[in-house]
Amino acid sequence: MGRISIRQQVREIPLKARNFSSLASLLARIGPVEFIRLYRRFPWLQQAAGIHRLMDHGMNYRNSVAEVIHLIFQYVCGVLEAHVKNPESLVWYEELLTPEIPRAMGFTTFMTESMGLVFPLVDRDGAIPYLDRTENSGFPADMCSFIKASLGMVLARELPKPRLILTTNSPCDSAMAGYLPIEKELGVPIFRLDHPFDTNERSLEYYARGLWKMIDFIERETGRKMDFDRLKEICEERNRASEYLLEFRELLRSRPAPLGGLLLTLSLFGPMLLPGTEAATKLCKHLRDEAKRRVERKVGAVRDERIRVILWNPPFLIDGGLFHWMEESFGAVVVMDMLAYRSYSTIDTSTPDSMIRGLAYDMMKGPMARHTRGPARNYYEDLIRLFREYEADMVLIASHQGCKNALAIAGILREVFRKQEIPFLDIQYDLVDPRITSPEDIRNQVSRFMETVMADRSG
Amino acid sequence: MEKESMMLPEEIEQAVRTLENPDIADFRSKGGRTIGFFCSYVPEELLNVEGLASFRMRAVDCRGSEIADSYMGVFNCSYTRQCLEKGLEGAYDFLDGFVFVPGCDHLRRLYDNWAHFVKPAFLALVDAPHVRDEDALKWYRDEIECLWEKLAGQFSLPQEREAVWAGIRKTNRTRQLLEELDRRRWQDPPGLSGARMQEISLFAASVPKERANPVLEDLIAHVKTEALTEPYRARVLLVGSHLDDPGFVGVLEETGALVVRDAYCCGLRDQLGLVADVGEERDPFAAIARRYLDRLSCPRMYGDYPRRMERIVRMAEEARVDGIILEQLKFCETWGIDGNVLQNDLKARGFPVLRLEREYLLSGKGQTRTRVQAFLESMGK
Repeated sequence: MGRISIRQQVREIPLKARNFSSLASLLARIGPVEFIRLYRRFPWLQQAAGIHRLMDHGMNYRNSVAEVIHLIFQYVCGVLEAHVKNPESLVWYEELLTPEIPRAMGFTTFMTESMGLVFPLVDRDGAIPYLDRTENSGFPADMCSFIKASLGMVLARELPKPRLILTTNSPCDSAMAGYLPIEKELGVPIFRLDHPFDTNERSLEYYARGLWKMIDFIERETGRKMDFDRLKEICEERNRASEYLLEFRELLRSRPAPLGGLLLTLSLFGPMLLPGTEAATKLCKHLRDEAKRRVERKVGAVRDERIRVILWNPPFLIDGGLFHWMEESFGAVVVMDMLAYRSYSTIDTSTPDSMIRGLAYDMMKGPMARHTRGPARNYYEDLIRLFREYEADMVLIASHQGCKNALAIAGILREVFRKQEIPFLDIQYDLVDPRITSPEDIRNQVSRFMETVMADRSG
Repeated sequence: MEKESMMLPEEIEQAVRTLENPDIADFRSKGGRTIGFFCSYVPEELLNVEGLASFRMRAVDCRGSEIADSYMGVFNCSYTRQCLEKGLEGAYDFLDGFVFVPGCDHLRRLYDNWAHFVKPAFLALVDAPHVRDEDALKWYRDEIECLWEKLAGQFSLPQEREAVWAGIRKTNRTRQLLEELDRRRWQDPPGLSGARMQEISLFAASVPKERANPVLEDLIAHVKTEALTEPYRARVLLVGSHLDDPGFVGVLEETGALVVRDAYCCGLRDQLGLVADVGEERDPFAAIARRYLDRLSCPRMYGDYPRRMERIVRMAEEARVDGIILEQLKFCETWGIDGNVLQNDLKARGFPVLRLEREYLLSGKGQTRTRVQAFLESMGK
């Protein structure tokens, strides 16, 4: 981690202060008694308060990381306020089911896996108590730790209870099956969408029908009615954010890449946590503007970009500083990854049917949904395409041990890469649990690869 | 438990011990085609129309999976890795094609590996839904029809629906006979052991139905007049994931836990329930789809847990079991997660429950015996 100049520190004061202001306004809205109760009931809030450390992982683009942190604050404060003031208005959704529909019905939405995403980024050991909780309750140690952490939080009763849950069978069996104990523990109604294997006209129609059934389910369970005018507003807001993100993605093709891997990972937070909101659009616009400004000035994520990397599979959450370290140590910049390469299609808002169909399409084409629930060819064809489009030099496969889908195509990938003469490094690790492969070991593996296979470029 | 008195015909034992058995060889020599299938959600009926025979995929006699391990991950279930190993060796060359269902993460990726490395002449995938409702039924029905069109094209089968109904009737007959044998097993005193029933089920899943059905009829006649004479300590229901090894059931039974009923993949769970044959004007594909969605489900059918749980309880009560053993292949998330919930719920309903995690190849017999013994003792048996 480099040193931060006094000027930068001063510049960051308002960026951090607005987050404390979000907390203060939550305090004002719910009152001090409830505020303290929240802190006692959800001990992880203390851990989450350390989220500003994320900025240290993105030394070369701290301001942009600060924007993402601000969005996370808004998200968490919104959920906590709903939990205190109107618990019946809180709906949980699974990570690959975008929440525009319940939001259009007036619900506050919470992504079940969101804390599992944030904890390890803030503190590499942050999710361990919850992983242990799940395993000690008899669930398999080898299930995906992403859902394992969320299940642990549910078992520990440390998440705000929802009115109902919406889920899908994507991206994997762990995520699919993991919602059974969550449902049993919470005792709330749950709706399950069925994601077919492949994406085509017929499966899209089937999936979209599933969304219509989901609307019926929510209406039946809660008595609230679907508001398609509100959904239209949300989808239009979402379309604006998508435009920015598509531009942002395009700008990352520049040499040098204007922003690095951490920002790619964090760029997901807007579309995942608060899609169709002004906050998400603002974040996406910031990312686009920042990338554009840097491209115009020829400022890269790192001063001397030597290696362009495509990262495949979910990023190394247990080592948020990995990207910065790769940039500084080897001039290696992650220019695109699987999760950032999601579908940002424009949703046709002309009719209710076109909106539902557009949302269904985006979910089916989403990262992991099409890669792990779908056929292997989606997984490697997207990767090869991006490798060419982004003029990359190598591929880094983050082989999360809980992802049986990705592990099972190691041989296919090896063959495809060799045929295409693509250098690749495959690191076996766990997304959320640093006890499987430590961040230090991950960096050692990267070092060895850079110093041998990529020696002619890494300097 | 002493060695069981009832001996099975050599034909059955051979079909269990080997992949290509004489009945298949004979069927193929007369122009028949044999199709391997990987999941109990593959509509077996279509693979048993005139001229075709179904074969439930196993990796008999596999000694390791070194090559497959390098293609798949060591965290993938050993059934899929062993099958891939065998596939890479060419051990399934006696089969004319393969049908998959994306039953779970592991099977879905086995399909990808099969397509990429084994490259069979005929390969199809039926995308069975994960939920049960009318839309899912329609989706499944169309998938089944699509499979039929592929099979008919590849193997020059008659296009008429009557051909499909004939396959349904033949497969229904096998299921009826197996259910009848199963009833003999769970009567008191039991007619045969769980290991024998497993061998019979595997035989029926490995030879053409034309051959299986008369053999099963003979066995029923035999079991009707005989009851198991060996002592046992407890009657158990065995529930769980893919299990095609009578040796594993044998280990449980040697320890005194007689498997009087089962609900595991490759056992009787797959056979329970018939395709409703209510007339040829009916749509055979819809009838098949309904059968597969209505039967006792695998945890891959998420959202079906309450129904699954009640069916298992009913089976346990009907067979008057003393306890329930849940077995699962290591790294099977669906059974690993669902099984934990099931265990707690079955215990809450008053059933003693033992959970066993296993690898595809029989291993850790001593440990399994110890755990089963402790389980039996905990039940006071």
